[in-house]
Amino acid sequence: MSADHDHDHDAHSHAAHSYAEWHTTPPPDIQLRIKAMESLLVEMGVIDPAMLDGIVDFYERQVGPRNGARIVARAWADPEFKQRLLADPAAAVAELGMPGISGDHVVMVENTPETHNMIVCTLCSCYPWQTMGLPPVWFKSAAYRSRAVSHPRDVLREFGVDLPPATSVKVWDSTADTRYMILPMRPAGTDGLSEDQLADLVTRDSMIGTGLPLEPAP
Amino acid sequence: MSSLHNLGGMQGFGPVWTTEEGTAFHTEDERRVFGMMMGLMAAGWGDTDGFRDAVETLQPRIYARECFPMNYFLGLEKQLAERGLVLPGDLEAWMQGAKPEGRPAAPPVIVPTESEPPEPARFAVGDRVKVATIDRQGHNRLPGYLRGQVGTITADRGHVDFPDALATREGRRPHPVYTVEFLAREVWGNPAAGDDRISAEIFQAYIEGKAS
Repeated sequence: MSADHDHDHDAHSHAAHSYAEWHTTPPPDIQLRIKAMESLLVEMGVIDPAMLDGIVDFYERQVGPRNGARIVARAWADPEFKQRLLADPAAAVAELGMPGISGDHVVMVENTPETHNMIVCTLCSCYPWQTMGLPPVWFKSAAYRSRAVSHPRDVLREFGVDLPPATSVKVWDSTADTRYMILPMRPAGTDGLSEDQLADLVTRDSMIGTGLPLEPAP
Repeated sequence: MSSLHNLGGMQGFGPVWTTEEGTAFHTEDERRVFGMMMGLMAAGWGDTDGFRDAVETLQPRIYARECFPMNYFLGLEKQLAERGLVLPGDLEAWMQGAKPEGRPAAPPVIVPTESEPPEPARFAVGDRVKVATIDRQGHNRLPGYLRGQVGTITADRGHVDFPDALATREGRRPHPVYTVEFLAREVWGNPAAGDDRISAEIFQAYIEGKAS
């Protein structure tokens, strides 16, 4: 396998490619092998193309950060739900009745004025798929995985989050089966908002801990 | 020993690119490889820790390219070759129209189904514990930056199949896991870290013992 050519380019030199495309576009010879492997496995009867389409569709259209946002919005709107969510995420998530979405192995971590939490997987790319879908490309990157644990405040600044010095940072490295999801603090000025309007303020990054929820429109 | 995937605390990778749009897949290759990974796991030809091991042991210059579907594909290719389904040369032959013959119809039993009795838990919430100082060989889930560090157990996560044994296909060995909290200023020797903390899941086998 000659996977070693064509990748000593710097990501920034690929003007036509976004960062995400650069990290998700294999060299042409590998692309050919990927197609060949898929067709061979189908020919051998090992995998079923309809099943693969179903899996891809599930992660593309049904699971994603909007599910996580609904969970957070419900927790903001309903203090009793929030207590259940913190105590038993799987049971609380099941109450929302999102098809195929489970809170198994998910632990909710609540941000407070005293402690800001963020998640990382320094060893690979563990992420709460169950409630948030697949991770963004940067979450899998060496740049994030190396420094999220050693220089979290610098990383947060790169995301535009400048924490007050009095707020301590706690970084959760997902190294076994538990998957963490952050419950961000409800923004001020959102008292009159519906649960749907609240969900619109919950960004993916705010549930990773590298962002804060959006402010409500004035 | 540590390989390149054990990234916590390394330097030199530059700032994090934070501008990505949130889509599940960005290219057709990413879609295809993800579908194959999930399909192979569902069919019993793949498993999480064996797959992680295959990716972690790619040549560092390939791993460091950070082309994720390529890395995952090469890991998957390595696993399928080890398991005798798609051998080296098979894909080249298939691209010429020749289907490999005599391949196994069913996956090997990756993990024996009979479980050993679970390893008893030796620690409890509140214990101060010292993470093993000596590095572990082969696939494991101990972040290198926590070796030799002392932390406090904040949660007992029950038993999880021991990844080191899953990767080598020794078997399913339910093993205690704890959430352990560390002070960042001690881990990095940086007083400026104040009260910042790091929390990680630590398997009992990675713990040297109670710290005084």
